[in-house]
Amino acid sequence: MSSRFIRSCTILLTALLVFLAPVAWALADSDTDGVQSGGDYGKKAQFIFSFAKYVLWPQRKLQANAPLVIGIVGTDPFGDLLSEAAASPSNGRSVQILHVEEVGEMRKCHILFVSHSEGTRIGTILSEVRGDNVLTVGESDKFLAKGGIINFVQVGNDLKFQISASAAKQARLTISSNLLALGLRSSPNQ
Amino acid sequence: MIWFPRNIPIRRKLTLVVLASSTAALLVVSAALFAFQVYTFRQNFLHNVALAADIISVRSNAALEFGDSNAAHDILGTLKKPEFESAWLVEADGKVLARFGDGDGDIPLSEYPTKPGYKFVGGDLLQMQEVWQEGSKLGTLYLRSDYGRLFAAARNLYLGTLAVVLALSSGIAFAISSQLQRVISVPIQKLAETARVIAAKNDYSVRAEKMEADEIGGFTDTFNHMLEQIQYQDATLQAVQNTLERQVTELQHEIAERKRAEEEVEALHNQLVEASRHAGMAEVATGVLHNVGNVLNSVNVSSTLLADRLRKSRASNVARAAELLKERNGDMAEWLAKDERGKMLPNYLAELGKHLATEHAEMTVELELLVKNVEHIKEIVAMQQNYAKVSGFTEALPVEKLMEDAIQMNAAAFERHRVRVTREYENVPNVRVDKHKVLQILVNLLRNAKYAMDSNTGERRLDLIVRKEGEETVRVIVRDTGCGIPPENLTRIFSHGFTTKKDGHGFGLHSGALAAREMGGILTAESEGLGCGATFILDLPIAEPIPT
Repeated sequence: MSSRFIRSCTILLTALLVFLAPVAWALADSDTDGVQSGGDYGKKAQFIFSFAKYVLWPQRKLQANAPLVIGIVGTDPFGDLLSEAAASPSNGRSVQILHVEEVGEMRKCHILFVSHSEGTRIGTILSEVRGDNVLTVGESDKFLAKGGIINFVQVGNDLKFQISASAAKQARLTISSNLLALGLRSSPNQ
Repeated sequence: MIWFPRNIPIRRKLTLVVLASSTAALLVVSAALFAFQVYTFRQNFLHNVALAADIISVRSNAALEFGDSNAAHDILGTLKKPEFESAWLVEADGKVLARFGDGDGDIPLSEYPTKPGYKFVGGDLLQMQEVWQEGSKLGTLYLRSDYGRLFAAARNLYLGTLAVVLALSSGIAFAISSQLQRVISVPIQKLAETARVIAAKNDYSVRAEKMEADEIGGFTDTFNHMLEQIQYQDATLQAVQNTLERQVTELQHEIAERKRAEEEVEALHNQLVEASRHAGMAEVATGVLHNVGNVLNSVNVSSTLLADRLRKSRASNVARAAELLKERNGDMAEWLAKDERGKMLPNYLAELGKHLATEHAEMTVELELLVKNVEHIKEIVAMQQNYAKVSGFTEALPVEKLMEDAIQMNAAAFERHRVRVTREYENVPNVRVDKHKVLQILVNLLRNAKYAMDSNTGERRLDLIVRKEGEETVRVIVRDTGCGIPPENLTRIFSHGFTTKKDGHGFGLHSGALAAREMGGILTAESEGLGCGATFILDLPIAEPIPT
């Protein structure tokens, strides 16, 4: 089932949500202050793999049968979790974990996890990969504000995430509206 | 054949035909439409539910993937359509991620199809849909929708719509057909009206108006052609009828004339019958006169004898003796004593007295005979007068008495011709007859018998028999030993004018037969042939029928 079909089927029902996404995001942005970073990395690893299912990279960036490259910038909080997740490849595509050492490597990645440890360098990192079709995933408060695409947020016991549709658009990534719809817009607790 | 009202005007029939066909067509179309609608509704419903399940499942993949029950709940919340009763999103591990619906009438998930698809439970459509993403099953969507309620509503809507459409289209069909039927019915009605006018007025010069060049127009032409022929035939018939009427009038004239002639004949016949009756009476009268004549002979003999006696009577001698005595008045004694003649006178007177006494006695006897004969004449005349009274009414009479009267009237003739009469009377009841007619018949029969036996050299015997014949008839048989009747004449003897006598008039038996019939009797004749005698049989009705 192609994303085009999904979109065409759900466009009317999701238009409202899409329209409200920036607002939701803005609200979420302010509400997630003081949310504890770090947390459940097993779940985060799972989420990062799952994100790949709802994102469409341009053809030239991700060729058929080519492995999906997941890069980690900064301190690797996952340990073996990510590797374990990579052991069960989804949809026949193999996954390659890359601990980024230099800027050039970042551009090869399809998903780039910016670790909490890179707090101050986030802006630089993000600007380096801008235009290289990289799905940037972070876990910092200002990650989206600095141009990141997905940012993990811990709400109570639940792991949630924020998505910047505009950043994804800038990176020329097509993100499933279903995923967009899950993007945190307001605190469920309120 | 479909039932159809026969005895209604054509325009109604046409309207009915159109209405019936259009309604039938409409019904068929409506039924087809209804079936199609039901089918379409079901297909649409299934399609919609499948589509909704598809959409939900596609949209809910991320929510399942990331275990976001809020988002899942939001997605299920988009199912706010009346047909969806409840929905469940269940993760691959069996944990319910989100559910939708107020829980009324929920059906356990175990009732749902175990494979993706649908099934009906009661009025509910249960849909099961798996949620996959990139080759891995994320969870299952269970969807329950109220098919029955929506179907009933839709069905009622369809039926209502069809009913309205049917009513409207029938109305329109009626309106159109009641206008269009004129195209056919008006010419037919005009034709019928023309036919009615023709039938009512017998005016065959009327022509039907031809309106259109269709079958009815052709029929109108044929009708007019027929009218022409009828008009022609009518004229011909009229002419024939006039001729016939004239002939009938003539015939009526002729019939009237014939009737008059018949009446004349009838009158003549009556006159003849009357004449024959008179003739019969004349015969009776002749018989009477004959008898009277016979008695008159005796009267004549008696009176001649008496006249002769009186002429020769010696009564005058007494006067002469008295003269002699008167002359000798004074010397009577001397004369008586001395004179010769005087001496003889007393003896003479005594002789004369004796003679006169004898004569008186003889004349008295003769006079008595005369008186008796005159009395006999009186009786005969009285009998004749008895029968000469006005005839025409019937009375109950003993037939033997009538027979005896008839014999009496012919008694002299029988005696003269030495006819031996035998009687053989049974004790029979009275007959209801007109005595004149019976007497007339019997006198005639007796006279005929006597006449038939005139030339007989042998025995002249007349057998008269009276006996009862059946319950209602007395039979009188007159059998003679006369010349008989040849077979060829047996039927002719009763016809008018037939006679074998030299001086006969041929009325006798004819009027006798008529008279017998008038009284309810019958007169017939039998004869073995010439020389064998003849038998005449008169049957007369018994006066008082024996009660049964």
